[in-house]
Amino acid sequence: MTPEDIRKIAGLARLRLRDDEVAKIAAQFTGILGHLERLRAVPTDGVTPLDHPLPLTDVLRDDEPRAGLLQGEALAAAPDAKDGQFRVPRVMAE
Amino acid sequence: MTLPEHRLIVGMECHIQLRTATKCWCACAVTFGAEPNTNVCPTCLGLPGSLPVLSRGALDQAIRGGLGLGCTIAAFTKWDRKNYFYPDLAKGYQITQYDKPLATDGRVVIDGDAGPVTIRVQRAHLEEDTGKTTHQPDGTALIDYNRCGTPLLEVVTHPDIHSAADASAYLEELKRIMQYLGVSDCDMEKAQLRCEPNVNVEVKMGEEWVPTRIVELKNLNSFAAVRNAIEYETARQVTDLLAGGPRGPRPKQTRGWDDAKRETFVQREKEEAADYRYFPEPDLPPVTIAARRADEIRADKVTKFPEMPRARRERYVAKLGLSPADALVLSSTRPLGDWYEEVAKSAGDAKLAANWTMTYVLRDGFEKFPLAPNAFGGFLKAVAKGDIPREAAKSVVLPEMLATGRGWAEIVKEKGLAATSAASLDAVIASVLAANAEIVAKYREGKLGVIGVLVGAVMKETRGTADAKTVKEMLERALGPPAG
Amino acid sequence: MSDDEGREDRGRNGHGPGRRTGAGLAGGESGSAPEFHELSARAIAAGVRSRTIAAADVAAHFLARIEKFNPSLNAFLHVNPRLTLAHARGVDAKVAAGHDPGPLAGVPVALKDNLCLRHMPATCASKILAGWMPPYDADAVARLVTAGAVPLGKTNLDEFAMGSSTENSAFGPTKNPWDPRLVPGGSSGGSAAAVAAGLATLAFGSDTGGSIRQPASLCGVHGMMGTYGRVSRRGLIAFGSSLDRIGPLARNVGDVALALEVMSGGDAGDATTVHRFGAEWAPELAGGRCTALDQDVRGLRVGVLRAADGVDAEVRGRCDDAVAAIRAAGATTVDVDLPAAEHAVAVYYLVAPSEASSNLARYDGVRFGYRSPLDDGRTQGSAPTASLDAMLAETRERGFGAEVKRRILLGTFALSAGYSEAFYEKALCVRRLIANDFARAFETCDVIVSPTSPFPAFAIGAKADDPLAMYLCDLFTIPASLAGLPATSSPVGATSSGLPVGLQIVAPALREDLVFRVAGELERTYGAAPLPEAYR
Repeated sequence: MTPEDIRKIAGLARLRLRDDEVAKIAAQFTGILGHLERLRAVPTDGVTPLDHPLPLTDVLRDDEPRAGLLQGEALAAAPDAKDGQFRVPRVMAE
Repeated sequence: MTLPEHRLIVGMECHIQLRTATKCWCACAVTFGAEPNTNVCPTCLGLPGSLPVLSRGALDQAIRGGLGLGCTIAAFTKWDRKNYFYPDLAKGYQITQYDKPLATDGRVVIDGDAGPVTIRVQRAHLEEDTGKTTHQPDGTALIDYNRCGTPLLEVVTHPDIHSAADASAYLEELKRIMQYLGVSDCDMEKAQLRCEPNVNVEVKMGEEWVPTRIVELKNLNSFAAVRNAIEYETARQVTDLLAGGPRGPRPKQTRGWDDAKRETFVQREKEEAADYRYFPEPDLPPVTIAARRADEIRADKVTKFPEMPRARRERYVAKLGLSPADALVLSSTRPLGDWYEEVAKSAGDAKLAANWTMTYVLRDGFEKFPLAPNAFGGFLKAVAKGDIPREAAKSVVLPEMLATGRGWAEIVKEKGLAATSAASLDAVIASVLAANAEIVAKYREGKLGVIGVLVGAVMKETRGTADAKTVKEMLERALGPPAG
Repeated sequence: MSDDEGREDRGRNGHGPGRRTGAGLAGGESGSAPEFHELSARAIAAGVRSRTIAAADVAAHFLARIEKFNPSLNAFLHVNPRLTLAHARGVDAKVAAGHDPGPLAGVPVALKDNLCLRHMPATCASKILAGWMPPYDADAVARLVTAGAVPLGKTNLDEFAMGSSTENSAFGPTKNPWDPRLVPGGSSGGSAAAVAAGLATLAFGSDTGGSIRQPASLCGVHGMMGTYGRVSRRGLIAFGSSLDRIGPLARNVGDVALALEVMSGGDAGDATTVHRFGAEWAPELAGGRCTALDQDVRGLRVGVLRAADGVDAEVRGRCDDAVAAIRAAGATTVDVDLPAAEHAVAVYYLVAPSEASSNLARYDGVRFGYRSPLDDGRTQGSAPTASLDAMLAETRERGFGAEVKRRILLGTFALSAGYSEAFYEKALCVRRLIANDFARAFETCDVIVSPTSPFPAFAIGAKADDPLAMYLCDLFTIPASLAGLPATSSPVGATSSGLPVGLQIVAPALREDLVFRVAGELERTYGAAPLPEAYR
């Protein structure tokens, strides 16, 4: 893993990293990925991936409304709020 | 400026807000226009520790929508997380469907200039809506999560649309289908229907067909906007290519539509290497009952899966003898079609029912029309049978019925409007001819136009209860052939 | 509060000083009545229900112990004595009014700080959630409170439950009660230490790859996770959703069984509980009397996991002794092998971080928790010149600790375009192979035992700079996590230097009763977990 790779992934994850962190993580990733890459040697042709331990299907809820939070409760933990809404800084033009 | 030979290619991606009582994954009510952040809970706010549970209502509506598009409903379908950051996306991922969508391979048939056009539907899947961000003059943005988690049906077509008119015809048909099914009101002003056409053009340059870059159009708030934006894009893309602009179809560009300036503008130059890191949503088990549920929905005797608007239009033309234009109007919504059909049934004359419905009922909308469809139909039946003279029916009886709610028979009797019988008409004609010897003489001299005066006189005598056409024929017979 | 004040407080509650212990409730040493912190949860509940002891007295006793010991131990991140006493008095009032106070009446419990309980913060030991007060209760916590449990406070953990030592806490490491220079294990290190030191009768943790069992082992207590989905996850702050489980820790296995039963049950708000396919708590476990615990192990086939490299010799010795004891009690033993399990750590460190990278995307400084002030000198918070992207990136940069960032990056990488097939999806396939290995092994045995941790508690800081070494702590615990199977760690003695050793017992899905049969036998051999000298 190069520092550029780490930066790209960090960008996807919206994690800003300092330069020294990038170098450190790149080094650690080399070790960790070395271990993880051993998986490649395991034959898995025809194996169905197991993404969940429970063989559950078809869990549905009735379409009946229930009261949720009051506006004040919803906003109670907001770092910034105005007029009953959550406030965020300027959304940069994409 | 005349554009060189070119082919427009449009694929449509639409989001339809499903009509349900609760949100997709939580029991918060779905509302429009509520105070901000008053229909929220830990789940739709994405609070730590919260979990989603799929609503039966959302699933059923999505299945219904898929069936309406003629899709195959999947025997196995599941949800995935689409990871991206935006503040109105509470969890930092959208729960959507990636590789196992609920519905696939449908079709929507529209009427193009040169006959029916089939738009293939690639897929339709159930996903959640985001909250609403409102940008403030000071540069900050306010976020309301009331909408966050509302169920959406995303409908993606193949690039089968080749004109701006067809694009809006597709949307109109899509809206009709969803309305027929009660799946959504598709009110664009309430953002219940949002569409993002992917537009590009192949331009003939010499022997070669050269594609322009695909543009995804956003901010389209009406069918007219869709049509205008696609027309604008067609010209812009062709002109741009001819002026040496880059060939396409990739990289894709995102442009917004400015309705005031009637032009598109760049929103995102290059589709950034969007990496959504899809993976199966571990909090939601897959669904294996959708296909079976689809069969139940089709067969349900109570909710009754409706005839689709196109089938209804075709039936109106083929079985009821209506013109395609009338059929389109009368089947434009399911309740109107139902209403009209009840009128037609009790009238016993579908075309008469269509004409009268179009003329007298749709002026203010059938919902506001005070008569029940069978009352209106019964009245039309009497008109058709000649029990009420047409002129009187239009000018006296119907207005009186609408104003007072009384039955036509009562009105006809009270006003003495019963159609004049042939026998008494003979007597009236005889007396009119006797009283208008001069005019009779002119007629016999060959001035055939004067018969109108005689018809008028008869109509006056019968106070409009006679049928003008019949009167004219009887007069002609009585007068005999003119001289010369 | 001092011990004296505590006694006075109890006096005011109408119970004489003579009632400050649970005399006669749990056959203590002859002549010395056991103190509240020496009693089992069942003994406390029985005393409270029969009005021989007052829940408020018990609560005050534990609050006093927390005040005394927690500053050095750092097991608790938050206590709220008023809330605790209010809960306790509520239980007493229920008893006084003749209502059923529930099977955990007056039992003081500690909750890992990733479980939501109203009126107490839930921080996940992360700066990004510092001070966050959840507006709802976790389903499991609500069940505990309904059953009469009295919440003492919230315990320390590795940030977002990511770690095996509780060193990755934004609020400082927890110490091992057996030796304050050592880690208590993790990530539920605060809960394990609290129970081990007698600062709570029951504690609750979460286990994603070993986070209950490994600290239980390192602290010498019982720690269990039921089958995936036994307990609703609603209100457990997610780490790896397909792996996360809530479970109890206690110094005796009967309390573990009772607590797990109380917490289990379907929840309309969690689509992934076993009750969805009609699995109810096994009847032989129901009603707070776990009969499986009293059954012997005669005829039980105990699979002994093939020896792995790198296991501490003394740990191996204690575990071999335990297996011998089980065999002596009438069980047969059979060697089992889980070939794919050698890849379990690799599978886990792809699957869990992948899910975590998504689960932790919501920490964006918008709706709750920490928002970084922007440090470009001009802008603060939502000032118009600030940008959302900068706020987001800085909030996450400053709010998350190093290990959390590492795992978010690892998971983001494993799911990213071009890599997800080789990493994430490959891991899911090997996960299937591991589950298949268990299924095959359970054809020849009823339970599988192994060391819980390859080594006893290690020094604080010893593995702090070597993430891979830290990940390998979970070698034995991860396979059952990946397969969704119930598993416990039971104390089986100590090393020559007095450090506890735990034996892991894994059973097939929904067969917690088999775990309890073996754990019950071990408890008959080893007795209830002792308190370290300093905390008696």
